Amino acid sequence: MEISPDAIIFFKWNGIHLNATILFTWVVMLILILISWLATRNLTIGPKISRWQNFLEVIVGYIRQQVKEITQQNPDPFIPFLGTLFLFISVSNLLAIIPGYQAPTGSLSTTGALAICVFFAIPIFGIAKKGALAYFKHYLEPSIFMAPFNVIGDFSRTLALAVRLFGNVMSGSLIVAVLLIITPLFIPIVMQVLGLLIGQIQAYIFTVLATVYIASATRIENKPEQIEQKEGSKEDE
Amino acid sequence: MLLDSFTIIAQIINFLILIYLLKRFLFNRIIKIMDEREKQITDRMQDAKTAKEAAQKELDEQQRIREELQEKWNEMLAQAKKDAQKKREELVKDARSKIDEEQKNWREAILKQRTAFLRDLRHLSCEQVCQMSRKVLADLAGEKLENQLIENFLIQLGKLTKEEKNDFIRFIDKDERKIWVDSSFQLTGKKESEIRKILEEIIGDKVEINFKVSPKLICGIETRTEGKKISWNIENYLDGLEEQFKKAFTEFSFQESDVEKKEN
Repeated sequence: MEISPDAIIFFKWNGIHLNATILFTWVVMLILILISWLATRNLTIGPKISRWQNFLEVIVGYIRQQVKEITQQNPDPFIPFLGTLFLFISVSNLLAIIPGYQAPTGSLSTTGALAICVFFAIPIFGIAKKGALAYFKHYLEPSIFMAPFNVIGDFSRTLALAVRLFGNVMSGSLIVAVLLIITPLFIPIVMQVLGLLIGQIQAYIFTVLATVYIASATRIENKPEQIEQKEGSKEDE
Repeated sequence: MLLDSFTIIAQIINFLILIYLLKRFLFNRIIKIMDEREKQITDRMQDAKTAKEAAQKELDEQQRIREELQEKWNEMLAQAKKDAQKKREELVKDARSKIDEEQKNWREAILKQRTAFLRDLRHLSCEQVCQMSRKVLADLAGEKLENQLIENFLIQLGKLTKEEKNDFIRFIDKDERKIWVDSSFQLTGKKESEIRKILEEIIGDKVEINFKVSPKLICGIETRTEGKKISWNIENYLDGLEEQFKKAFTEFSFQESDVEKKEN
């Protein structure tokens, strides 16, 4: 029995190999893109819309609402990244009910890759919003001596993101596998249902944490001088 | 091995591709359509709000017009009632005045008829009494009524007091010195001279006495100056009878009017 789907290799050539993680990632990607493409072919703004359009609007609307509540900013610039993150993790975990399927999120490589994406997305969004100087300045707060700890904090939270998701998904599938050996009837089904729930919760947690990190990086703190300037400009108006 | 560098890189690439594709096929399209719908709903709500405001304004205007019309209608109704009342009063007044006039005419007509009737009655009564007296006197005493009338007339003249005589003389025209003796029958020469004699005694002077038969005097004789008259005729007896008839007529007409009121 393999702990990670990385170990299941289907094809290998000159250091390039196709393992179960990549393969099932493609499957997930294909499903997501196919559904998106099919559902968004004939979009209408009229009162009568297709069920698929309605379904996707609910999901996207919910993501937008969550991101807006957390960031307290216009959510649209973050939606493609955070939305994709949530949908990928969610669908990857959801498909775990299909026999033979290996969730890509059960691989530390996948969760690590996602965490690395988040790790780089935070400064990209931060710099885009506040400028490089303002962004990197926060590493020196509250004092310059805290800079190493701030950097370590960034790395550690990225690591925590990756390991948390990997641990949960991997443990879920391991538990089911172990229970199948001990009690092959009924109990694994319950654990599988629980695994589905945990999978969705983890997708939510991963996305929310990524949102929080990005929100903290992009939030413009109103300094006293800035507040005074704003009030002054309002009075001028 | 839990971490595989190739897989990590491949997954990063996969994830970036997925971000791009989902952005293109899902998020951009869905967000755009959601924003458009939101805008459309906002626009429609704004339109509905505007339309509602316009409708409310129109409703208020209609309400105002209706109240104005109601007020005008009430005023017209009050005026019409007032006019009708006035017209009614005028008509009633007019009708009453007409009724009063007709009643007056009717009363006058009745009065005329009554007067005429009484006059005729008096005349007829006089004639009847005269004829009857004449017959009774002739049958019972063998006397003529005319003679008795003259006799009594002469007696009455003889009984005149001094004041009455002076009063009679005072009205004799001083220039013409004329008096008239009217009778309902032709006087004989003897009777004329008797009368002349006694009148001249009363007057104490010579006057011109004109004897004349007057049909107006039904049964009697009288002497008159310009403003005074001494008469002896049956009419005097009938004055009481006429009064009785008048009274009877009045009572009868009162009773009739009471019956009419009760019937109404």
